[in-house]
Amino acid sequence: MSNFRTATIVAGVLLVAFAAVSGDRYFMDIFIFTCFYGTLAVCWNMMAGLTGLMSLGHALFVGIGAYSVAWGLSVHGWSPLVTWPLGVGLAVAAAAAIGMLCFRYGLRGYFFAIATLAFGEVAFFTVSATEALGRSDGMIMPISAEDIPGQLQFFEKWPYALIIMTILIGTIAIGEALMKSRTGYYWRALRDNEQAAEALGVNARAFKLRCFMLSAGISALCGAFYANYVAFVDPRSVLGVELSIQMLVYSIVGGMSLLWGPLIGAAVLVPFSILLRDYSAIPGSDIVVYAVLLAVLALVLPQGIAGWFVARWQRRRLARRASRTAEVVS
Amino acid sequence: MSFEIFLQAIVGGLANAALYALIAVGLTLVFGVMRIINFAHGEFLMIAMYAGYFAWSLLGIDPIVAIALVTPVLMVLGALLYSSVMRFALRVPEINQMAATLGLSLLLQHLALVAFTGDNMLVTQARAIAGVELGPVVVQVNQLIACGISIVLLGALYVVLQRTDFGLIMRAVAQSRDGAALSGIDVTGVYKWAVAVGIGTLGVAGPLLVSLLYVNPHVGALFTLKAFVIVILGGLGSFTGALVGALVVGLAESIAGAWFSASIAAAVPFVILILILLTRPEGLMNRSVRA
Repeated sequence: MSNFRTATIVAGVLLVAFAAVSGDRYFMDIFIFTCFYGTLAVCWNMMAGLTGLMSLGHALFVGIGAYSVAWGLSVHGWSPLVTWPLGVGLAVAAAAAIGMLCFRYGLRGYFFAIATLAFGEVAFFTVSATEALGRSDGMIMPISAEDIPGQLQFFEKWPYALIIMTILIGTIAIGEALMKSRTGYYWRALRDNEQAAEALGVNARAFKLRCFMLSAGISALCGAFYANYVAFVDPRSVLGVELSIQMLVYSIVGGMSLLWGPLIGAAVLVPFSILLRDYSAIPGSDIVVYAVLLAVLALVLPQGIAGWFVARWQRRRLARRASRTAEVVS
Repeated sequence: MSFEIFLQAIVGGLANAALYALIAVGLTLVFGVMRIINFAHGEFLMIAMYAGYFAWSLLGIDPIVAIALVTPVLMVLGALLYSSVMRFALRVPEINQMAATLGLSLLLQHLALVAFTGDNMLVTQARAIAGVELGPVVVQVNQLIACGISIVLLGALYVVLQRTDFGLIMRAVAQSRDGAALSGIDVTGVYKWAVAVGIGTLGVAGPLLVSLLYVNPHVGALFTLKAFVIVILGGLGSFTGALVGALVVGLAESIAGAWFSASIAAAVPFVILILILLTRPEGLMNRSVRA
């Protein structure tokens, strides 16, 4: 189990939180959205924080997943067993194509960010103009009065919570396993110094592509879940730049150097902004608060909340060890 | 598509291009000097548009006159932007710079939403519906004015950057920050001026634009993206590049608008951007700055 320490801790915390909110539909909803954005932020950060590839077009992959499910169900009546793999497959293929183009031409930093942003925007406008996908109005998925487990339609919210929790824990476990594998070390080497890593024989293009495809696949999985949970998709909610930016917000606030940092960011910000949105007298105050938090934290606490705590904890432990050594010596 | 419509699209595209160039030059100036991309650029344009609108609706000032009032205000805002955000952004990694200016952009959008509501506002004067016939095509008077003023200002900026000591100093800092500092140039002062001028140009563009296009709190995001496309097309940090980029985007957009639906036309600049990034990531006008 020691190989999956983080995943185990996350699973434990999630189960406790799940039990705590299980009596209340409203809090369950917040819990589900926290897990949803948390998963997206974690898989976004596998690229940004751990491999050094900032994507501003991740909504594209969420959108591919969500639209695959919505289109498959409302046009053909396909079950999630078909549409989920379809969405993930399409997203991975799209990531492979975009990644091959971008990495082939050595796009990095701002340029990669803006290129992915452009791909996302092209998809946004194209879907907004496509009749078969409901244009900008989006697609409302057919829902029946009874639960249909085969179509992932439930009246209660807890089955959805279990699904997204599984996806989140799976993502953390995969990430953790990769971080301890050769691939993970290569990723971090590419982030820290691409030229040096390449000089030592790391195939930069292949490993960046692998990271991009994995991250896109998980994003599409989240998108597919979103479509089934909300039963409505439109370009703004699943393909808009805002969604891509949200992933960045949670990662920055939580801490980008850690696999689970973005999860902390989402756990702090998602419930906070939902509560503020629902209970504050001033409309839009949730976004004002988190915009300020984003700008200030990005400049003042570049390592994020989780990064700051971990650094502090490590410093304390070193100090304690140093003082113990000093005692032994004297 | 008839030839007249095509000509009309070209003329419309050229008129837009001049305004686009003015907006993009500010972005490229700040990037060129500070190496920071300001994601809140469009929001300052939005503020300038509101300023132009309120100068007209509350004080009855013509947008052309309002330029003289709005530009100094925007320059002060630019200086404030430098001392509140940009100064600290120099010390953090690229991704945090991006996050900080993105946060600022969200903040300004929502403050505008609270202050001015989400309604569309437009300056509507008698001359807004007047047109000038140039052979087979008709140009709106306002478009012509906006285009003319933009071209004059772009020319003035070019002269300042190329022919004066101030411009020389700015270019020196853009080329090598350390080298400039070693030669006794006050680098922080230059930064502040670059941001003030970069945002100040929006003070000219805003009032001109609000007599052509509705302003609402989210109009800025659209122009930020367009400005990105333009400056990357021409080469980040290059002045002439921004002009070329604006020309390409303005023309492509309006020709595509005559051919396809509005949504497809909106995607066209991004398609061009992707093609450029893949073939010449350093831009059309820059000579290989591939990092």
